[in-house]
Amino acid sequence: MSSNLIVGAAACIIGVIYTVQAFYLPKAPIGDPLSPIYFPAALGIIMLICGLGLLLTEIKKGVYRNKEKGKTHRKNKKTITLITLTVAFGLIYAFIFERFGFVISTTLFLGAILFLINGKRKWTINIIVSLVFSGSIWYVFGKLLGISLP
Amino acid sequence: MEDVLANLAYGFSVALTPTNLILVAVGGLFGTIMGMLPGIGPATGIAVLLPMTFSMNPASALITMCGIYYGAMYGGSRSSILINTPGDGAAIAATFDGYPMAQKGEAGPALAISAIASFIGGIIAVVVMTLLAVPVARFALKFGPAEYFSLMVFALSATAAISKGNLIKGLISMLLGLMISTVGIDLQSGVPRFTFGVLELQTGIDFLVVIIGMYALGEVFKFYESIDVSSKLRTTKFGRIWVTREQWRRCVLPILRSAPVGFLIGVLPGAGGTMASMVAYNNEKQLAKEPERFGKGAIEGLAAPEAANNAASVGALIPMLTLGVPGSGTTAIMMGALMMLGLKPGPLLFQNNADVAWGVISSMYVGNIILAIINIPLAGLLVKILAVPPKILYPIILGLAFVGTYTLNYSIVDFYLLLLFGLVGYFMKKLKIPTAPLILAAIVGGSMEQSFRQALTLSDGSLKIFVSSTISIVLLILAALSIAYPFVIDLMKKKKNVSASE
Repeated sequence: MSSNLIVGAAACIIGVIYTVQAFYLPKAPIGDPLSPIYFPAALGIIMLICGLGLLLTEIKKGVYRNKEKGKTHRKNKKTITLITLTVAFGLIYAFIFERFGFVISTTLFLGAILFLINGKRKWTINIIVSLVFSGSIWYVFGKLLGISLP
Repeated sequence: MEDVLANLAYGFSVALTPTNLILVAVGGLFGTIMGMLPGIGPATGIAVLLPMTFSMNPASALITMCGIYYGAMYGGSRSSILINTPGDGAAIAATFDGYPMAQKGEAGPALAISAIASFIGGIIAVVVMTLLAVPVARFALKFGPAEYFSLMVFALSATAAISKGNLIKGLISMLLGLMISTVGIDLQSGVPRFTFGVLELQTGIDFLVVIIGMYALGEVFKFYESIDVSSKLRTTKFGRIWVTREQWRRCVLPILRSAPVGFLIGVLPGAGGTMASMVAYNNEKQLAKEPERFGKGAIEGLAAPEAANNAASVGALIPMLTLGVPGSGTTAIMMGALMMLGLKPGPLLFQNNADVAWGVISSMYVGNIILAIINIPLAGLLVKILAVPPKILYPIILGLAFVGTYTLNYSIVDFYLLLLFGLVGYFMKKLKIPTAPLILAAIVGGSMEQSFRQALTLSDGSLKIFVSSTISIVLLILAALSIAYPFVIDLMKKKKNVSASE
């Protein structure tokens, strides 16, 4: 499937969901009760039109076959794994950020990312970088800029 | 003219305070470093360094951000020349002749001329801006809600149409941005929209989170694809970083020609440094007596795009400062940061916040001088940063993105949004959907809807108000033309092909 087909289909779906949601929005208590709805409804409908437009032009062009070879596939798989893990670490980071405080949670988060990206063999550098980073950010923000971190 | 000089003198009194001098230098230095990193351009640079500015007054904050902005323009070409990897889109043209020069052993002159050209381009553009800013702002005072709405329609449609790739994808990106801007409590009726019962979403999605997510996280995710491809810096030792008289003679005219071109392209919404440098490069190639030298290390082929992209970065500030409508991702972030500090860019900025407006303009004179110093004598020192493995730099950028996001609202909910928009940014790049329209729409969307409804209130609900003034009509026609333009080009190409095959 070509990327344009995916985008077109996604735009149609977003357009429909958004438009339906827009009509369920609460009405305004004063003035024209529909005034908060016009703009979003227009956005949703135009989105649907754009999505359909993209789909039709793609279908008219003819769906061409995907010629991706095994190599790019493997590369893609690795990228997706890395992104998934980064997002997972990010979620854990969000969860522990206020519980463990800035310095500990940031050291753990950055350390985890560094082990993921930079590799286990360079563990000394990874640990030093994450400690120096969270320590110096904490110092610069907390002491110099007066921005409080947990 | 005397007015201008008086304003400028006032501006310098702001720009030359020790604090602001240090800030423009620090901003410029950080910007240069950010610009040097592959994939990290001025937008990401400012997004990541944003928290630096939160404790500053608006004038200092804007001075720092501008320093980062044109610092990144200077820095972008360093990695283009030395490792054939452009720091950002605007530096792509610098790889065409910059890298061949470095291969020929002329890295020194290449680094020097790109900094000199950037400097001259920047200064010419600032002079033009000094003269233009007030007239443009005065003109913009005539704008009512209807005109503003039409202006924003034009800015958005031009951005969607110009961004590379296909027009419909640009429009989809723009619509997504506008949809993001509708989340939160509707200011006119007090009705919550698309908050799904989440308390933190009532104040809307902070567009700075959208920007940091899409630019910083999105770029890091994109980097994961090429994680095993290492572009090694061959040498950090070059001969003298300066140019010979002969090389200089070749470059003078290209620089002087490219700066105004770059400035004009920068002012246009949607077009920016990338387009400016490409146009300048192609211009010079066409004007050249020996065009075959281009691409093989012609020094003027490096000087022209560098002058143009710096001029463009100054030009891009004009619509943001004088109209309050940014024309690029980078200026959108700057505007977002200013609004966070309680300042509303627009025609009244030059009256109500003259210290900010003129302080920034004056600081650009100073900043360009400082950056020339950073980038010529200290170039050898700076490029050592390129030797730091990206596998360490990118995690640090990730860390900065999270810290920056937290300091926006002190809310963990923003972390989830950050991750979400990081993924959105990555997949948009993957699917070749331009991101600039989304960013722009997310930031102007709110005021666009407000002016639309204000205009309708003024006219008792009649849409005629949008075609009742010349300014508004002209802007809407421009918007329509910018949308029609890609189709016209397509048609012309088809006709050409048909007539060629006959």
